[in-house]
Amino acid sequence: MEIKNYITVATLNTLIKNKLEGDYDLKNIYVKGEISNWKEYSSGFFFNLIEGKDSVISCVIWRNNYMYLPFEPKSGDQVVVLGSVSVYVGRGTYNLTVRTMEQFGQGAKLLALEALKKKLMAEGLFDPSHKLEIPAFPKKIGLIVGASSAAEADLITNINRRWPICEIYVFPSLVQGKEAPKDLLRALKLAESYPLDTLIIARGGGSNEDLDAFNDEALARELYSCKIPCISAVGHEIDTTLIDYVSDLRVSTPTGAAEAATPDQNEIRSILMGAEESLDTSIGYLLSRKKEMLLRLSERPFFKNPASSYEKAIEQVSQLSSRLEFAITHQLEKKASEITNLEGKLKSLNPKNVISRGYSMTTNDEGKVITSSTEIKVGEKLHTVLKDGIIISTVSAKE
Amino acid sequence: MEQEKELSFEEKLNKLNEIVNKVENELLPLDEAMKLYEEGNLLIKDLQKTLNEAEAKIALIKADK
Repeated sequence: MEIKNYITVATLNTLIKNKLEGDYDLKNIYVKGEISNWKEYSSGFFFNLIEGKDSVISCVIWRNNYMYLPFEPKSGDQVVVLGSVSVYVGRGTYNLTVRTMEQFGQGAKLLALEALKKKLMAEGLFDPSHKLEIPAFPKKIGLIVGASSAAEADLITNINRRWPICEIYVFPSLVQGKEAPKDLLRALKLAESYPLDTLIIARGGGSNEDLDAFNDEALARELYSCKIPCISAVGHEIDTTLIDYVSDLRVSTPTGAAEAATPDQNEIRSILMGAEESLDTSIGYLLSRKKEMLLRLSERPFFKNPASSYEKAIEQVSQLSSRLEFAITHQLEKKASEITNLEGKLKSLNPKNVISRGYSMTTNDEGKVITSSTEIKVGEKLHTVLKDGIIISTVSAKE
Repeated sequence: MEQEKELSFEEKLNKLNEIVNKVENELLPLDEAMKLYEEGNLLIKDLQKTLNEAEAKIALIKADK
């Protein structure tokens, strides 16, 4: 008897695929295991998730999901993956198609970190209003970095290139491991005792554990109270630590931190050159205007002929002077003519003049002029003055 | 004379003017006329000196340019 109701392999695999992929119990499940045989392909990463020696499941994570992973998985990592079972019809195999995964043990830590973050946020440690402005022209910059780290070298190179007049103070610190939080705190306190304009806390990328030190509560609180404007550059863009939330400015790379902390000297130079030019132009314009004003003023009559200012006064004085001469002469002449007048009058009153015209003057013995007969007695002598002599006679009678 | 030193040029000029007017327009006792004449001449000398100084100063300033 020939069996007619068989199905093809492909049909079977398709049935299996539909069965498995349609089962909600196999969709979006969390599976814990250890990564082994991690291999990279152009489309994505293939690996096995194993548990002990006995259990294994093939897994794949496509690149579009891989790029969002918070860490770089490698063989030996203990992980919890989130994925769905899928069937490869051509091979009749199934695997776990992983959408995301995290390092095992990180989950609890992340929850604790989230709780801490919420607490600090509620306390206002992340408030934008508390953030200090990063100085535009720093003179002293402090770096809290791993000793001789790539971040340190990167920062120093870039700060020196952009703003070489700035002094750099390096406060080396452990940046990973158990002692790192304490050491970072020490470095931060030390840095705070310097008169810095800006402080940069920087560390290159790393796994979540590597960056744990920057999630330390005490460190975050110290940074919050720090009076120096602080830039944080910890890990990569996707890694945001507590320090990044508390710092006054968060950037993703040490280079970015150097750029945020300093102006570019070339830009400043060109601004200065522009300013110098426009200053020259305006001062030149100003000067030529003032010169023109001065020229016009100096051509005024006063400057052309300064004597004009006192010529009038000279004229006045000289006029007054001649008027005074004339007036005093006039006064003196008047006096002189008065004298002449009086002299004439006096002359005409001289009695000798009368006698010369034939009159005579009679006096007594004492020389007193006799003008009345009562002034003389009979028997007294009379002196009669004539023009050419005196007659002396005796009074014989009076009538 | 001490007080006259403190007068300005214009004040002195006014005073001279008053003196001249008085000598011109009033018949004065000789003593007073002579006194005014003397005072007027002193004022004239003083004013001329001031003017000469101003002239010299302007010449100096011009020479300095």
